[in-house]
Formats: sequence, C-alpha cells, structure tokens
Amino acid sequence: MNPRVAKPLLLALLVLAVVVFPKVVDSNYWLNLVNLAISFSVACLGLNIVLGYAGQLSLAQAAFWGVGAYTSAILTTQFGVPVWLGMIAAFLVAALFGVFLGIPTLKLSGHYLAMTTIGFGIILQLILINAIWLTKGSDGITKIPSPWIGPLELREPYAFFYVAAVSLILLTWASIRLKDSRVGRAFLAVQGNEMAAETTGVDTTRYKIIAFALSAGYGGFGGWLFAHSGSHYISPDTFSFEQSVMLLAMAVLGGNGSAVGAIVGAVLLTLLPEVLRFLKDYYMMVYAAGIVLVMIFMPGGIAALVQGLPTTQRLKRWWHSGSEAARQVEIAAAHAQRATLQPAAATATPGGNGTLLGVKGLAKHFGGLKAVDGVDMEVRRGEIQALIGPNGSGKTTILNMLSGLYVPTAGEIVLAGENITGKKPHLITEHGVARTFQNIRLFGDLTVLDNVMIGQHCRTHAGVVASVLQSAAQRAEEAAMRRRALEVLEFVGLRGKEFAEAKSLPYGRQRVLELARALVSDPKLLLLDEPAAGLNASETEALIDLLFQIRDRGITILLVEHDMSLVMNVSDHITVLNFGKRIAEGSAEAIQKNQEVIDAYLGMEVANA
Amino acid sequence: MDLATNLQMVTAGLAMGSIYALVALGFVLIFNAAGVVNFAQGEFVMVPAFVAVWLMDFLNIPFPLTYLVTVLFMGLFGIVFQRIAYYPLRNRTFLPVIIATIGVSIFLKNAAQLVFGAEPFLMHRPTPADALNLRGVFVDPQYIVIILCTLALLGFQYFFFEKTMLGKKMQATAQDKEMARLLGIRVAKMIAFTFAYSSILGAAAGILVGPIFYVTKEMGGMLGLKAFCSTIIGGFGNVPGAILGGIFLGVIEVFAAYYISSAYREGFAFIILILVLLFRPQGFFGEKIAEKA
Repeated sequence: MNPRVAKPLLLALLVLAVVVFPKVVDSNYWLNLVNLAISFSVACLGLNIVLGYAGQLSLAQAAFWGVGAYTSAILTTQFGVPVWLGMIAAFLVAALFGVFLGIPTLKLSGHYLAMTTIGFGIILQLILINAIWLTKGSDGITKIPSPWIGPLELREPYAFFYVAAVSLILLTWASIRLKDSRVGRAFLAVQGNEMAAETTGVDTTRYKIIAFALSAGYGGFGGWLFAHSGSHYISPDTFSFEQSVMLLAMAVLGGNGSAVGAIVGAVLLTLLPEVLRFLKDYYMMVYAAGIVLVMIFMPGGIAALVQGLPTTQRLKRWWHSGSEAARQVEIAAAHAQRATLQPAAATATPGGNGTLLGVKGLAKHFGGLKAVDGVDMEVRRGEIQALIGPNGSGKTTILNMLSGLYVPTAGEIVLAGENITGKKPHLITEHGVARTFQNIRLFGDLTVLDNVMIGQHCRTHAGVVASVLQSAAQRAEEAAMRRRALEVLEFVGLRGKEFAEAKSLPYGRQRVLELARALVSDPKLLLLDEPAAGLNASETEALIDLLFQIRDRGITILLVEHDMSLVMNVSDHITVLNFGKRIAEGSAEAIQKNQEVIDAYLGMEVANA
Repeated sequence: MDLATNLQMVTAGLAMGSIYALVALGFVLIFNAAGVVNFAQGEFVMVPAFVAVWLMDFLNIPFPLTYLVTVLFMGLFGIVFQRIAYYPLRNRTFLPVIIATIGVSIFLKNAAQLVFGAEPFLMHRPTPADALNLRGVFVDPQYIVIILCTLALLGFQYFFFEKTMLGKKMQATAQDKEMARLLGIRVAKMIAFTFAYSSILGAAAGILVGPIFYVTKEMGGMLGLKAFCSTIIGGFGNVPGAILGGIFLGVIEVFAAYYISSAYREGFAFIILILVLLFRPQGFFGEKIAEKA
C-alpha cells in the first residue's frame, strides 16, 4: 500500500479507537487512571522535547506540571475564568517560567540546568505551601471545575477522556512535526554536538531556551489536564521532586527522542503500580531498582528496542518512501548531471582582488600562555590561503577566534569591511564564515541530508509555529533547503547517501560531509582545519580538486594543514606562524626558500623537494 | 539586633556550613575523578546516620566504636555504589549516570523507611545538651565539635592528597585519566577509592549532624542539593571553592532565615545559586574553561 493512502486510514482508525475506548473500558476507576496517564504523557512529551530532542536534562517537569495545574485552578476557582482559557494560561505561564529559568542556566552545561531545575521545584513547593492567600497552602485547592462545551459539562471520566485524548493526539502530532523541521533539526544539532551547532549557525542558547520553554508549556498543559479531572483537587505535595523523577523515568523508559515512546513510558509507569500492588511497601524500591537497570541494560529505552526490530525498520522505510524528502531525492537523482553548485548572491564576488579578511594584532592568551600573540594577516578575495606552522604555533587558535569560538584577548577581525571581532559563532556564520574541524564534528545520529540542511539554518527562517502548522511558506522553504542540500551533496560527491546516518560513513566521507555542511551556508570565507588529516592519497587528490572547484565558485578559503605537498599545491598565499607570531608570509615558492621558515618548520627535506 | 545573637547565628551558620562543605567536597571529588554528578550524595549522609543510630540505639555500642564501624561501612558502601551506578555506565554520557544515581537514591530512601519506619530518630549526643555560655553568647557544643572535626578532616585531606602516594595517584586520575593509565595507575581502582573517600566524608557529615538534625529518610535530599549549590557557588570542580561555598551558604542561610523569612529558609540556597549563575557562572573561585575545538 502507498503510505500516502495509509495516512488518512490510520487517522480514521485512531479516531475510531478514541471514540469507542470509554465504551470498551466502561469503568470510572480505570478511565480516571487513563486520564491521569494522559496527563503524565503530555508532561513526558514535553520532557521529550527538551531531553530527547535538545539533550538538556530538566528535573522540574513536575514543577511545571504544578505551575499549569495551579494557574488554571486559581484562575477558574478564584476569578471565574472559563476552564478553556485556563488551559491556554496553564501552557503560557508554565512556558514563561521555563524562559525565566532557562536564561541564566542554559548558557552553561547540562549539570547546571539539572541542578537549577531541582531548586526551582523546591522554591515552587515552598511558595505553594506558604502563599496561602493565593494557593490555599497545604490544604490545596478543591472543587476545581470541569470544562464545558456549550451546555454540556465534561465531568464524567469518559467525557473528560475525550478532552484528554484529543489534546494528547494534537500535542503528539505537533511534537512529531516539530522534530522534522528547521527548529527540530536545530534542537537535534544542539544535542548532537553543541560546538558544531554553534559554528553551523544555530544560536544554541536560544534554541535550548525554546526547547525548555516548550517542554515547560507541555508540562503546564499536562497539569491542566490533571487539575480538571479525577478528584478535581490539587495540593502542593503532588508536585514534588520525586514526581519530577518519576516523569523523567517515564520519558527515559519510553526512549529518548521518541514522542510515542514517551507516551508508552508514561502509560506503563502509571499503570505499573496497579499491577505491582502485591509488592506493597517494596514497590518504590522495585521501581528505583528498575530505573537503574533500565539505565544499564536498555540505554535507548523501549523505543530503541522496538526500532531495532527488522519489521519496524521495514515499516519505517515504507512509511518514509511516501515522504516529500524521498520524492525530492529521487528527482535530484534523475537530474543529477545538471546539478552544479551555484554560488549564492552573497558570495558571488566578482574577481576583484581586494581584501576579504583583515586581521590586526590578533592575540589570545590563556593565563600566562600566549597562544597567539599579535598576528597581522590578510586574506584576499577568491584565493586559497594556507596557515602553517609547527604544532602549538597557534593555527587552530586563530581559526577558533575567526569562527567566534574564542573571544580574542586583543586585536581586530574585519570581514568584508565589517568588524566581527568577538561576535558569537552563529552570528559570524551568518556574516559568511563557515568552518570544519580538525577532529570531525558531525551530528552523527542524523542523516547526511539533515546534516547538510542544518548548514542552512542561518539562511532560513521558519519558527516553531510555522514548523508545527507547516504553512505554505514553511513547506516551500523546507523544499528549497532540501534542493540546495542535494545540490551540494552532488557537488562534493555524496549522492546516494542522503538517508545514511552521518556516523555510518567512512572517515574520508565524513570529512567531505563536514565540508558540504559548511559550504551550504553560502560562506564568503571557508575555514578548513586540517582537511586532509587522515585521508589516503586518492582522497587527498579528490580534496585538492574540490578545493580548486570551491575557489573557482568565488569562495575564499583559509586552511590549516600539515600536508605540505597539498599546501604548496593549492595555496595562492601562505602565512607561517611560530610561537603565536607570524614569521613569514608570501607565495608558496617564497615560503619554501625562506630560511626562517625552513629552520622553524619545513626543515631541509621540503626545501630541497 | 545585638551582637550576641549575631554571633550565635554565625556559629550555627559555620556549623551547618561545615556540613555542607563536607558533602560538597564529596561531590567535587567524585565529579573530578569520574566526571559524574552524583545525585545520591545526600544519601551518603542519610545512610551512615541510620547506621550510627542503629549501632548506638539498637545494639548499645559505645560512641567511638560506632563511629569507626560507620566510617568503615561507608567506605565499603562507596565502592559498592560506584560498581552499580557508575561503573557499568562509565562510557556513556552524563545523563544515564545522573538518572542511575537518582534511582539508587530513591532506593536507599525507601529501604531506610522499610527498615526503620517513618518516625524520625535523634542520634545520641557525644556532647552535653546544654548550650555553652561564652560571655553571653550561647553556643551548642555540638556546633563546635562539627567545626573542629571538619577542620581536622580538611587537614587530613590536605596531607593525604599532597603527601601520600595514593593521594597523588588519585589526583593524577582526576586530572588526566589517559595519562594516568599510561603511567600504570589503575584508574578504575582510583575512582573506586574516590567514591569510598567521598562516602566516608558523608559518614563524617552524618555522624556530626545526626545529634542536631532528625535522622529521617529525607534528611539527605536537601543536604545533597545544597551541597551541590555550594559547589557551583564556589566554582564547579574547584575543591577550595566547594568548601568555602558550603560555609558561605551555611552562614547566609541562617541570617536570611532570621532577617528575611524563615518559611522560605530552604529556598535561599537556590536563589543564591540562580544569582551566581546569572552574574558569575564560573563561581567565586572557578575559571572559565573552554571546550577544545
């Protein structure tokens, strides 16, 4: 069957299942439990966004769940706000808390967020207990109303089940769509390799905050579902650290990164106590031991187990065959011979030999160590320039400053007349500087195509809302990104590997992929850190060819390299460093004859060659 | 506010801060050696407190022997702990280890409840219950014991890490595992020792705080979290920073509870944490370390 036909069919089946479910179960006890499981599921979907997509650990999901529950409960009981409005408020207020908490912590590494989120949970509980005028303190809020549809009150568990089920389906759908979009790819890039994400043009802090806010919003929505169902009563002790851990366990058991997995985890762990009743006092111990065992023996959770099955993989391939991406790849393959790398308007620099990059007095000190100590350098438009020197002479440090990873201690970097000194990496990428790394930094778990699409992040615009709703503009942009990515893959010779995982490529191909990812951002200046390291002779040959082709398309190249035959072969201009200072500059011939360079670096062999 | 009350609060703050410092130290040592954030650090205090209560109250074992047995037990406990929650996960990202340590922490809390019930215990005091009157400043003698013992432990630690071969090997492991391994240091063993030592620091904290704090299954949770705050305030990964951060936090907390609000006492540590993260994320003593490109 064609997956395009199967889609509406599956949807119809899902609707049918939701409609008949309460009739089949027909027990208020179990329906209440299912409603609770759905509330947890929504919170876990949120965790899945921040943890599974963006790779950031939040230990306050129960707190956001509580923020949502209390926001709506207070608004509806004390201020008579309609329950549906409470729903929106629950989502927004929780998301807002997420933003406030994310701003100070998400610039830093994972442990800080984990810690701060715990602290937030504790402060929130203190406020819930002590701000009695607002929250009724430890007594909690009772008689929380149910939502109404016209004259119909959705109070019975089966009636509320429809609200919960529809919410869950819509929110799951949104989070799945989000994953496969510009925003979702940015999240995955942050998780895959933060430094690479930054230099590929993703504002990592911003995307971490977005992920965290969305996650908190989902948590708040889950809280809304909880407050207006079941016992219609909430109190501070429900929203504890232990509950946050429970939600985390659900998300991790289900499987990191899979929305459906998160739901499965939530449902399993909600129903588990019912099954394990006979354990009584031992239940929590068994549960805790279970968490540890899952961590040790099931690293990818249930999702990874299921995804590993051959049947699942076949299903996935079948499903995928109907996607827009697969169609575009097919078309590109059919027209392969015509695909050429068109330089974008920004990079089409007419032949002129002006200065593209000017570096003055650039310095970087680490404590007492002067890694780079006052270097002047110029890179001319449309040339290949090499930066060479012995190990520790400061070559990579200069590249790191040029790409914004290091803030220079002193000096100035001017790109095409604009001062870019000390700017954030993603802004520098936007200005037209792209780079590769000495030790390859790809997003290993993502496909080749996705890797290259992330490279266009800073040239595209779709945000969260557009990505979820898939507006016409968003779809057009997505298609254009894919087309461009395919062109570049064709150009570097990676066609046919579009849907392979980046980490599954052989080493040499990975280098080329990293180059493609940099190229696709339409750079004016391409920084290559030892592009030939680890390549064999024929791969190096191909690389040299590629470098010339890139230059001929108007892209200026600055490369750091130890392979002297490559350097002497391709470079229009060479800068030599030693101990953080420039010791020579000139054409390949001049450098080979320079006595100081021979003494410091080249030695006699190359000079005689 | 008169001077005597303030001085009393300083002493109480220093005592509490010493406890935070001990636990924070345990945190940092494990983090430096294994690159792991141990969310069960608080249970490294709760477990020995229960062990000591059990030995003294149930078996009527005298103080010195109780302390000795507790310390030895916790050394062993640390080794078993890392074998379960760290060793199998050592080659994975930080996330599974954090979750595993949380799992162990929940396990231990519930095990404690199962064995000892939900009622809190008060550990026997090695010191008189009456407050000392030092020229009008009333001080619980246990506070003084806590402060002195902490100082002694820090002195011992300095000697151990700087002057003994084992200590140096452990330091080498913390600084560069690869290099240490090449030099023939048994890295896994050193990490296990670090967990053991960290757990012994917990034992000291548990024994010291037991007589003034109720011994409950929950006693460790908050201690662990505040100790973690201390490490970040002092500068994450920095040993003197963790100690000073802990002491700073202990004192601030007492004063904030008195002058600002006692209901929110447990929240101040986290407010300070967020302020530090906002304005000086590398902590008071930490350096910014950039990842190598």
